[in-house]
Amino acid sequence: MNTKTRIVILILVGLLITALISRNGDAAWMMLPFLAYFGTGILLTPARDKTKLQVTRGLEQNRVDGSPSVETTITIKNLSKDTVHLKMRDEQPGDMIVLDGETTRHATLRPSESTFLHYTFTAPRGDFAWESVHVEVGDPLGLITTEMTIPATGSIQIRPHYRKFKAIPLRPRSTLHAPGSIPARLGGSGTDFYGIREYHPGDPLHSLDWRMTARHPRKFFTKEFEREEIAEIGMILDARPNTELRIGDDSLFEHSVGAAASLAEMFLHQGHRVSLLVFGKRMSIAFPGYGKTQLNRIMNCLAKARVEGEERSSAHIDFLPIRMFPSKSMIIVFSPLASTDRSLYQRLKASGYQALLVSPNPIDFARPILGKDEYTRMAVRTALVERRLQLDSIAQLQVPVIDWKVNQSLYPLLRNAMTHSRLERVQGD
Amino acid sequence: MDRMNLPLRQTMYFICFGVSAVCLIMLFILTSQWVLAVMAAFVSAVWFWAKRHPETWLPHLCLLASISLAVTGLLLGSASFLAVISAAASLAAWDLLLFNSALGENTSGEHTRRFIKHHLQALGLSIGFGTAAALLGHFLQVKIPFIGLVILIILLYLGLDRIWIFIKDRRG
Repeated sequence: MNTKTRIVILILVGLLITALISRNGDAAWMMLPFLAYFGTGILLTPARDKTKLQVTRGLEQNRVDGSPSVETTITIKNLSKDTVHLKMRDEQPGDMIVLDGETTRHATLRPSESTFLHYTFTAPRGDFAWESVHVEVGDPLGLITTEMTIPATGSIQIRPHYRKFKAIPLRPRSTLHAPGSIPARLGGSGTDFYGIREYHPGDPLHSLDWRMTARHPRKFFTKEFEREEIAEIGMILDARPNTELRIGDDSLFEHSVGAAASLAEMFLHQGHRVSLLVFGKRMSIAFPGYGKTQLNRIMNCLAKARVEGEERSSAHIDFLPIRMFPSKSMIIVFSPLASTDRSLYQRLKASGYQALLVSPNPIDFARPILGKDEYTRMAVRTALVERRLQLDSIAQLQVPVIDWKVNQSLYPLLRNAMTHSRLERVQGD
Repeated sequence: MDRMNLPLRQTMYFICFGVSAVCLIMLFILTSQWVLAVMAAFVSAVWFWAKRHPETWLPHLCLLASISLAVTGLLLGSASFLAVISAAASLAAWDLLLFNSALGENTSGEHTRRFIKHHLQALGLSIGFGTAAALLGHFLQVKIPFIGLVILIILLYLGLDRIWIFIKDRRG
């Protein structure tokens, strides 16, 4: 019984009591419009067991990148033999925002007729799923209604927005023996001249160095080219709650996610083998792989990445399973840094990994909301000094460090860090 | 057609509201109850406020206040047909106010327009029939003896049980 019905019954009872107490017939006659109104509602209410509705949900896409606008259409069909008056309502999961269209509709459907809800929404990164649609069936006056929850499943994955970076030439210490784009400092098939060696049976004739052979009678020489191979790259995304910083709708973690997505796309496009570890309360892993399938796995992992809960011992950096990365990989860590994180880079170096730290600068990120008074300025300077010392101590381990101010483009900083022969701290000034 | 529905619903609301307000104020002017006439005018003004906040309890309070004033006027011996018309028009205005609020701007589509049409038809027929019957009853001056009223109430009480079962069946 809804509020409307309660009000009408209250008035009817009130008028009846008044008529009885005052013994006034006119007060009783006054009940008639209300009785007719209420009676019409009762008579026109469809029977619950005879009402059969079918709902289907159609989504324009199931996976989208960035902050898109996605169209949804929900179709409801009347399978019962009577005309049905209904109100259908679709609830949006999570932080979804409806941009256009309607999420509620009133309709009168004759048998076998159907109507639809059509709306466009946008949502932040993540997985979203719908289970059902709420339908209220009742009389045309809306006095007696029955709420039904009809299954209409659907899901969508909003993946992080990534920028397409131009290929950055890498100089990893070790390469994978598979054809790629990185000079491997090994002789083999390639385009750059590498050296000359004595001919071995089986060498192709076109690689014979005829000049050298002419100078040395009875000996043949073969030209060698520098083999070009692929790199083994591992990425670690820091999703610990103590390193997250959120200002309004903007989040430091989202910047890290976007950077990780951009780099994964760039490395996989170059043909490298890439893996990902999201380290937080829950760990999610994309094991090493190549190509579009791997990009799909990594994007799936990044779409689900969340900074959750309070800091726990399980999320301590010492528990990070670095051995999931193949030996001698190049490890890129996306982390704003916590005070005890130096040990991770020591472990990485000790285990033979080539590490690179991309550290979104939390102090610079928080600057717009910081006060201008002297004490705040002093505190900011102290924090900056502390951070610089921390980054320097990591850089001393021969780990290139990118101090990334998130409002700046990451690409030039990365290019500098990855192509520099000397490992040093790259600052986004 | 979309643009025609909204003005129709609004127009009907304003007509019902206007009829209710005029009848209510006239009810007290005819018996020279000036304080109550001012109160009726005040309630009518609150209806305007309720139109802006239909999702609150204000429309329900306005309806209850209008009916209470109509009954008061009736008991003070004013023209009973004015009270009946005022109460019926208040009921229609209240229904249309809530209906317009529930529909919002979503009136596009053939099925929605049909929903609006069915609602307006059901409302017009029920309140029209109820008011006509009430006025007829008033003008025919049917006198029901008190014992008759008591019997009617007992029957109504017993009938309520049946109505409740019927409603439960309908709702499943």
